[in-house]
Amino acid sequence: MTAARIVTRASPRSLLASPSSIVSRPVQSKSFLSTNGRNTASAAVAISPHEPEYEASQHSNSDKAPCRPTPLSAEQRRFLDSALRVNQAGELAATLIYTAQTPQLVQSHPQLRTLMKHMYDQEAGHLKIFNELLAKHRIRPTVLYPVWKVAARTLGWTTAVMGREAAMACTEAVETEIGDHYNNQVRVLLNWARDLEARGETVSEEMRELLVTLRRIRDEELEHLDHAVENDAKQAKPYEILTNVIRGGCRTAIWISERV
Amino acid sequence: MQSRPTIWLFGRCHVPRSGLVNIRRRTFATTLQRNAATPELFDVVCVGGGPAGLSLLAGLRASPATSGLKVALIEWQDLAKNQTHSPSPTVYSNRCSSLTPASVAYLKAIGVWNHIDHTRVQPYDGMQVWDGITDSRISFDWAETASSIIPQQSTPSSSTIAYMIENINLTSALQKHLHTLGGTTIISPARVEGITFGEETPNLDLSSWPVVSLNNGQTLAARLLVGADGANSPVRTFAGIESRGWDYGRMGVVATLQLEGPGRAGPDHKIAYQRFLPSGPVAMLPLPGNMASLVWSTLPERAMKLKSMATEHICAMVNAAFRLSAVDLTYLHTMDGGQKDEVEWREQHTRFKEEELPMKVIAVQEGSVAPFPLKMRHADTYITERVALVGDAAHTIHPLAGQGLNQGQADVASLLRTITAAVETGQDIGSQLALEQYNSERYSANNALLGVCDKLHKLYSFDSGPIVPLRSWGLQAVNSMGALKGFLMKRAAGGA
Amino acid sequence: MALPSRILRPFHLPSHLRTIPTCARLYHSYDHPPAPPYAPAEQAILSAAITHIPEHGFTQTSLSRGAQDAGYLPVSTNLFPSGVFDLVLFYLVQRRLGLGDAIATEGLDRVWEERKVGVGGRVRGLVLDRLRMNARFGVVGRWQEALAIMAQPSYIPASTTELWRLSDEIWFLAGDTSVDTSWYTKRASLSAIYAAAEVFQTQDSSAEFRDTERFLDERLGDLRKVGGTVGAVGEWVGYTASSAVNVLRSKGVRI
Repeated sequence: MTAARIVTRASPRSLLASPSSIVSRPVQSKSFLSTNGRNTASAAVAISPHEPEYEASQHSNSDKAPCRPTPLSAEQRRFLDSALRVNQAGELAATLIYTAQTPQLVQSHPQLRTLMKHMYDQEAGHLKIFNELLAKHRIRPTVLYPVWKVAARTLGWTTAVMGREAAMACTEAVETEIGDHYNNQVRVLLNWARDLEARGETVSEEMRELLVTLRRIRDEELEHLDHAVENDAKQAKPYEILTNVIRGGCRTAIWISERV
Repeated sequence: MQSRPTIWLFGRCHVPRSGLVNIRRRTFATTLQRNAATPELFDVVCVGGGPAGLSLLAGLRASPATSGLKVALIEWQDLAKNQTHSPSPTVYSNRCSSLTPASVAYLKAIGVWNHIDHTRVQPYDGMQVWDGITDSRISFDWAETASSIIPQQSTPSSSTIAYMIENINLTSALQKHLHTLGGTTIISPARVEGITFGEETPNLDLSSWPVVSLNNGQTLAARLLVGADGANSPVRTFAGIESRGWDYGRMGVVATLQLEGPGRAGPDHKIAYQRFLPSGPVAMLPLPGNMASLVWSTLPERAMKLKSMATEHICAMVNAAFRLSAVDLTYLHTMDGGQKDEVEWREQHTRFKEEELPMKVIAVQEGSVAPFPLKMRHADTYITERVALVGDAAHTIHPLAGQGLNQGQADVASLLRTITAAVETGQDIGSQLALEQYNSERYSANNALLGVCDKLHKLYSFDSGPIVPLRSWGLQAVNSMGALKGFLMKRAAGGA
Repeated sequence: MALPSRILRPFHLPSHLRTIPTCARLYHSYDHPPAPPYAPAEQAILSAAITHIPEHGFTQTSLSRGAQDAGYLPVSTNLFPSGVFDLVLFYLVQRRLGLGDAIATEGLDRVWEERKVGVGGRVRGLVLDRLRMNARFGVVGRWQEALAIMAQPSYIPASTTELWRLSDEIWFLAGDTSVDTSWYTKRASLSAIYAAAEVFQTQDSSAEFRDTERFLDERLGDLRKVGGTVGAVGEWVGYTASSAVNVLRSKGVRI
């Protein structure tokens, strides 16, 4: 069981490469896809992001604005809308889980103070990013915002009362789900990028940045997962029940937040 | 987990260095000590040289059990200036505090009280508190109350509600005492640039020790780091302790006043006055001679206006604050000048009993009018591993009961007991376990006091509605019950 | 007269207008701006029709005149499936989009920066701008008709959605970036205030709608007061709960 879980989370990471290659070279005149080191990269057409944008308008139905890039389809906009909304809710929950866990964990295990602060700070950074993205792209927050707040605090508090191992198992379970969740989003964006490049269009800066951000955040979430495992998450009792309940809860919460 | 330190050790040391360690360990160790980046080790490092910080260090040095500890104090203001302080007898600082007998008892116990300039301390034994809307009143007077509940306690200290003292009088006495005791490393003026955890080196593991770096390049590692560094405490931020509460949307205006006489009951029987107005309480506290100290909590725009007024108008406004109605006061604050004449005229048409009110203000000390924002804050905890918070770093209170400084002194007294106990039982004074006693003793006590002051503020901010008659009735009821009043007075005086 | 083939097809409500209020707006892309909401022919007919509202009101007549002005047969207006409601909605959408344009052309952004106008002040300014548009287009006297049309059961969802969009637009343009529960309460309360102010405006005979402005200020003041009280109560409850936990923790209870 353990081995299988590690494989499932490790494989997407190796498939989709590390973010550093994109972070350090964001606007190279090289195929967007080829920087990912994916197997399909060789099939991608090498284009420059500085190519004139009128290429895009050939696919556009709009006669009024010949220089407009292709508007996103309603389906794409709906996807981004719900994806970013869920991400914000998720990061909100993550910060609150750590906030609720920290006082109790640190009281009995002072050596965890630095780790908890590090993880909290990263989550707070993620939340800030998604808050800004929501405001910028005019996406509504989830209707259940207050519900998630209560649920996350309760989860953090309960697992911390159960002890260090349970708290870490909670982190492991949550981060596994979140890692998967981000991976799916990265995959969808990569597909869009591939479609665009196949049509000879440029991938817009907006989409590039979003992809880079999502990858970086995903990697940081998976790093938390590693920390949790290092801190004896697997020793939690009852490990299976606890992680399955939490992962089920996460999936349900994501499913609901995508809709409302 | 067990093997981790080893891995880290090899991971961090460069190959040539680890070679050096193996071959010439002694040389390496001495270079380390000369290295400016290597922190000096202390048992207790206190950030903040206000009344709480100074008092803690004086306590640590004075107590035989803790006098062996290596202690340091960091203060960003130049503490040397306090000691050259030589005030004129008719000029008083606007930053005064009301020290409760409990705080004074602690200061006596650590030997500071002798260093205080007693000519500038004013004990008071009477207190008049009334409702600005209904005029219902409660008067605290040990002379009356004490005889009914505590038979035959006639020593002066037992009848004293509190002692008015300038903060600078207290801090310079604490400094003098620290100098007499010696042994404290005082670093002042110096600003804290950063606090981090220390490094783990082959011969010393400071990874759980806070290391304070100062703007003069010094670094200090602390077995126990004490945050006495005020409301925006960097130590609290370092420790990751959340501080909760709210801003009142009010300003406290302080000023040093000169009255027409030494007080209604003469120089030997001084009285403190407080009137609750809907915009906030206004208090006049006695200082020696004809002087008094003002604390007026009010709306920010009124505070600013008050500060900008001419002296004669400020006097008139303060007199009006204790005499005229809330409606009149609101009107006076809207005037662009001429408050003096307006107040005189309105006083003739308002009924009040002059003998129950403070004497009239005839002058305001130049430059002493200063507003400050009022807020309530309480840290989630006072301790974490190797960190303790005291005073304003741990809690900020509404000044209406004058308890801020006393809470800090009580914190310090408790922390001192906790450290002493840890030293005596051979515990690590920085460990969370050893510090728990301090948090347990002080947290709920401070929480209760913060709550009472906050609720009093809220209770008296209503100027109409059902709350107003209820609170008057409550005040009158308390006033008529000698025993309850005595209990309250004892609590206010800091007794258990 | 040759009709363009697409004119013969019935016009449909623009797709983004046919959604429930909570989904009023989807991801707004800057690098991929959405297509304009109305096709050129719709745009031409409805824009022309608006100039006839002061005289003929929100009626079929205005629509027909508009079609004629734009060079189409009057009968082509029968192809707007919702008839005059399409005209009302077009008016609302155009004025809403006009708010952003007004900021750009008048350089309001800079004025706000320089004068340090807060979000509240900006919202007030934008609501007033929007109300003044009603006067500028001469629809104030005809607004009761529009309200009656919007109140028809089948048009209520689209009308409330458009109201919600307007208040979303105002908060967005005012630079509000809150993305928590207040996102909803802010939009809901502004919608209510705007709708009330617009109705008040139809009865207002004061010069330059001074009374409407005063009415608006009073409602916004009420909102601030209620918001302040609710915020303070929430803050107090939160503080009290956490201080209870902190006291227990200080006494050694492991919670």
